Amino acid sequence: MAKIVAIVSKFYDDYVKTTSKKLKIIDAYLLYIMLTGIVQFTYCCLVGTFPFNSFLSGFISSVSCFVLGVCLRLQANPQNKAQFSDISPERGFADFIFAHIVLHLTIINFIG
Amino acid sequence: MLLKYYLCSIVTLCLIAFVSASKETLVLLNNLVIKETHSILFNTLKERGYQLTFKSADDPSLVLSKYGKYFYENLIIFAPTVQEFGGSLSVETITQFIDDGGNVLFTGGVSTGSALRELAVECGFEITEENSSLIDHLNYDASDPGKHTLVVTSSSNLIKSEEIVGNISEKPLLYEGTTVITDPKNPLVLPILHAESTAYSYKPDLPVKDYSLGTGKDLLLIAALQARNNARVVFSGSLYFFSDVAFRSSVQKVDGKTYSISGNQEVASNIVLWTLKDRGMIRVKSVNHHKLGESSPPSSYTIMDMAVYLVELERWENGKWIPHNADDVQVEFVRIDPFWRGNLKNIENGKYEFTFRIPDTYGVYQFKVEYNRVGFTAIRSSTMVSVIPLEHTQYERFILSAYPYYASAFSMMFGVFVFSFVFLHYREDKAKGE
Amino acid sequence: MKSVFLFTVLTSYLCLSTSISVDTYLTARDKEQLKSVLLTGLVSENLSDIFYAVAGLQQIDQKVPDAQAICNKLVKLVGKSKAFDSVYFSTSAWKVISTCSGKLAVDESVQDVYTMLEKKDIRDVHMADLYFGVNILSNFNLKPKDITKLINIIKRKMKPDDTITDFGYSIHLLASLGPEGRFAFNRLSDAIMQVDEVDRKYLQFEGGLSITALVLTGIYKFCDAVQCNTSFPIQNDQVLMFSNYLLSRKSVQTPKGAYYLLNALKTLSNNQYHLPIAATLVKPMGDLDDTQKTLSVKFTNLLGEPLPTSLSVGVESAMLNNKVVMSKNKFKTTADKTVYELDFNEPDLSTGLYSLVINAIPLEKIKVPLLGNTAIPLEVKVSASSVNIVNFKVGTTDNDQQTSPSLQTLKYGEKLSTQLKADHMQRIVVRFTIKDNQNKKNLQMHQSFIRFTNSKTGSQSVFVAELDSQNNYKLDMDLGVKSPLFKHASNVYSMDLIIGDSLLKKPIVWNFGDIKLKFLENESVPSESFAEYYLPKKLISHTFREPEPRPPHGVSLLFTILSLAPLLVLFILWARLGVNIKNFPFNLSAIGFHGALASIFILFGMFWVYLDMFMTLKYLLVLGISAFLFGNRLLSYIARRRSK
Repeated sequence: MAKIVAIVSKFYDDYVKTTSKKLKIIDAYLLYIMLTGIVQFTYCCLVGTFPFNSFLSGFISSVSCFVLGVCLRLQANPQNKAQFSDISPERGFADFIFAHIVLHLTIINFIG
Repeated sequence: MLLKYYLCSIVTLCLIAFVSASKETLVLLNNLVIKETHSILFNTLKERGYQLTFKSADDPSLVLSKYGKYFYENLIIFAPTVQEFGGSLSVETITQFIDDGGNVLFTGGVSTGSALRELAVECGFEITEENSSLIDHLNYDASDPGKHTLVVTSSSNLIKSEEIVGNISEKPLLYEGTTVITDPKNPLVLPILHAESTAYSYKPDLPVKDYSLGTGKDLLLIAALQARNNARVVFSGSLYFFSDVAFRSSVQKVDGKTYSISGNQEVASNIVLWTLKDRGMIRVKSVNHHKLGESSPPSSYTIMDMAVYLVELERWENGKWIPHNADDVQVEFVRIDPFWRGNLKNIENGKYEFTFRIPDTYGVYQFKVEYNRVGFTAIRSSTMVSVIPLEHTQYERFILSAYPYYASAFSMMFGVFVFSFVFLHYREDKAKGE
Repeated sequence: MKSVFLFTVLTSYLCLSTSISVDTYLTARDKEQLKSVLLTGLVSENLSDIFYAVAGLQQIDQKVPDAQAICNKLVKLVGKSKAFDSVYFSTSAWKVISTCSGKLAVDESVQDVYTMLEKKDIRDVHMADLYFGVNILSNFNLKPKDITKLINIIKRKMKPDDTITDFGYSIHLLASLGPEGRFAFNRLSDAIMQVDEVDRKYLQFEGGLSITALVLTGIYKFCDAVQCNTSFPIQNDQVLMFSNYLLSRKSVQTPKGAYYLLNALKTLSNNQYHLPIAATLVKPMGDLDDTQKTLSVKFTNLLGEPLPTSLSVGVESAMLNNKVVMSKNKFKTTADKTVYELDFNEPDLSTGLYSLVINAIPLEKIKVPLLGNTAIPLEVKVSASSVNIVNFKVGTTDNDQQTSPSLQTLKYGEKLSTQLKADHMQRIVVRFTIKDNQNKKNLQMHQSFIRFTNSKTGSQSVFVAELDSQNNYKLDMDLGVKSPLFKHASNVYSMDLIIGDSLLKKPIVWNFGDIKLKFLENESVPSESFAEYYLPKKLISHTFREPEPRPPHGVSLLFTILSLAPLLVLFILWARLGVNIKNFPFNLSAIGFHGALASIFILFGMFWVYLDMFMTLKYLLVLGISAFLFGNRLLSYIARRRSK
């Protein structure tokens, strides 16, 4: 138990020191999305899946936003520049926005 | 839309074809004297508009139909001893006539011909053995010729149906003839007049051996069959019952009570008019259904709609159709099994209404009205409607318990918008110290 | 010796043969009913009905009610038709009423009659026209101008193949014209040959009552006119059979029929050739029993009037079951001149149906001979007034036949004090004997039933008690075998003994006890019973699916707030991180891009609320292109700025 706590606190320290501000901004954004998803899931477990389509669309919206955010973080991370040599971060952002538009259209259509 | 409704609905099966249009009646007699000895009954029929054609039962020119079209609606056979019909008439053709909706009244007697016995069996009546009579040692008329076969039957032995026999009066009925036995479980056979419980049917001159041919209330004197196509067949074991002599005779029961005149005329006339479909005829005048709040039938119903079913019934009385009021008409909403069965409310003048909610399963349903009451023609009306599930635009939206999900989705969108600002326009501050 | 024996047999056989007789007459009730039928004719608008009504009432000596109104009606109706029969009916009715004031406007018709009688070409003159025409004249006491010519016309018109109606008219006509009509005498017997005989009892002409009566009365009138004297064309038996036929039509329902019936009966009872009599049993079949031993027979004419002479009535023979039982007794007279009595008090007067043959010989001299007064057959029934039930025993026993049944004895009229019990493994035994009044003989009764009535449902099961060799009755019934007859219904049943016979005056229905029966419950087939088919069926209401349970409002609202809470967390974190947007270019593309993005999301919000997909896509196209353009410019600007 103590070992796990030690690992986690070391990880947290490293994280605060090594990650750039930009990435931390993205991470905060990702945390926000995750919390929203957790809240929805908890709600569903509590009260049941009554408007199942609404639950699905809300939850999937959170999950997909999270995934898109992670993809953006990967592309924005300067350490990964080598893997994304022919895609500029701006291009990544444009993809990000485009995907979000399509995603949210679908979500709103399905949420009922 | 209306056209579709008319195409989709199957209107009532009750006989419109034989209604009120023509009243041609063929009367078959043993000998033409019967035309005079039963003149009161025949005059009653003529006054009601029936066209009677009198022929002898073995006349070789008898014909009921030609090229599929019937000349007569009704057949009266007052020829108890006929062994074989003449012309093209036979038990088969008469049975076919009944199957096609024609009405038949026929009488037997102590000696009943084999043709009539066969016809009776086809209709579910079993006439007791040849030469047996109805005998009742406790209820015979004082003018009985000696074997106690001129029986006085109380009117309380009549079937309780005003349509068939009219109002039951105190006056007793005179009867002389044979009897018939039917299957009491057959719902289509109606016991119009049964014998007193002390009566029995046997050959008067032979001692009763073992089990007598029929006793008491199980013995029927007049029996009727209203077939599923509403054709009416009535058999009476006595031709005397319908005669002028019986109509005009006084009754003196052997135990003392006297009546100045028998009740035969009213009861016999009513029974014959019922057989010829002058009484007890009801039919559906119109059927309508619509959603609550509208007035004409939709092309289809949606589940959970409120629907209203309306039907109008009318009854034939004294030469015209008048609204028929009853309080026990039911309608069913059926898709193989009935989902709803309710009592139709009589709103006024023969109009009935039933309001209900369409079930939550979709499919093809039928509104079914099946009305069987003793003495009335059976009404079977069915109207087909389709019930469709909710269209995708008819589901509930903006549900309170889904607010968290709506909120999250919009919050996601807002998050993206705000994030785009921050992501694009964030300036790393190098000047500030760490 | 042998010849004497044979002779006796022969005469007794001849004596046994009966002749035709009339056994009914027109009673006062019949006359009342005929009168009411006639009265219906008075209200008719038909001239023939009115005529028959008034003429019929005249036959029974009844006054026409409201005669003047009828006369007025005749005046009104007479103008409607010039046909001879209408004029005949109206003028004849006028004459019958005789008290009419006013005049019928028929002078023209009278002239027409004369014209017809003088016609040279008689081919389209019908016998009916002649009949009606001549009668119209006689209604005004006029006669045809040339009687001989008329008779010739009739002679030429009468043919052997005439209809019976025409024949009837012709002889009526000839009868009114005097003795010259005698030529037609031979035609009478030809006509009589056309009668129909039914059952050796009735005689009628084809066409029914009116035609038969018309011809009959015509023959009598004709014979009066031409003086048939001893050669009356109708034989005695035929006269009696005609009488029987007429009386069988007593319940005729038309004024025409009533008139003809009364007219014919009156003619038969008032003519100079014979007088048919009716010999009627006062009580149906005599109605004799061991307490009433007097047989009453009534002798009248066909109209129920007393005969002109008193009679000596005697028994010719009396047979019971083909055995002679009575000697030739004589009837006694009574206070009522028409009724004669006989005491049926031979010893050993057993019950049964007796065939009597009687004779009624007139005692005084009479103008016309009686008909139907010899060899009159009578069916007389002697019943037992009551019978006694003796040795009545009832009880139950087991099926094994080893134990003898324990039977209780009951006196007739009593009831078992305790309820019997039996089940399907047992038998019911009832024994009794029926004895006659003097308790001498064991009797056999046609109906000797034992009836069980289910006290709850009222359904009845009846069983026949059988006679053994000593004429004792026994019912031995195995309940197991007979349980279907009880419909397997276990219940308390009341038991009745029913004794009846056509020769028993007082039948017996004796409730002698109750019994509790137990049967094996049968797997009754639950088929739809008769009653259920006709009664309203059970109501069905559809139970709808339960909607999904929803959480309470508070919980939903709470979680709504909770799902918005992470937004707060986001802003707090970003604030902690020191987020800024200092690099915002404030140029068109930046504002345009962010504006377009915002509008896209707002569009989605509107799509959720009320737009449909098609509209949304249309707007999205526009906004999306602008977002793309602005975004492209903004991003390239940012990229350029970064690479600088």
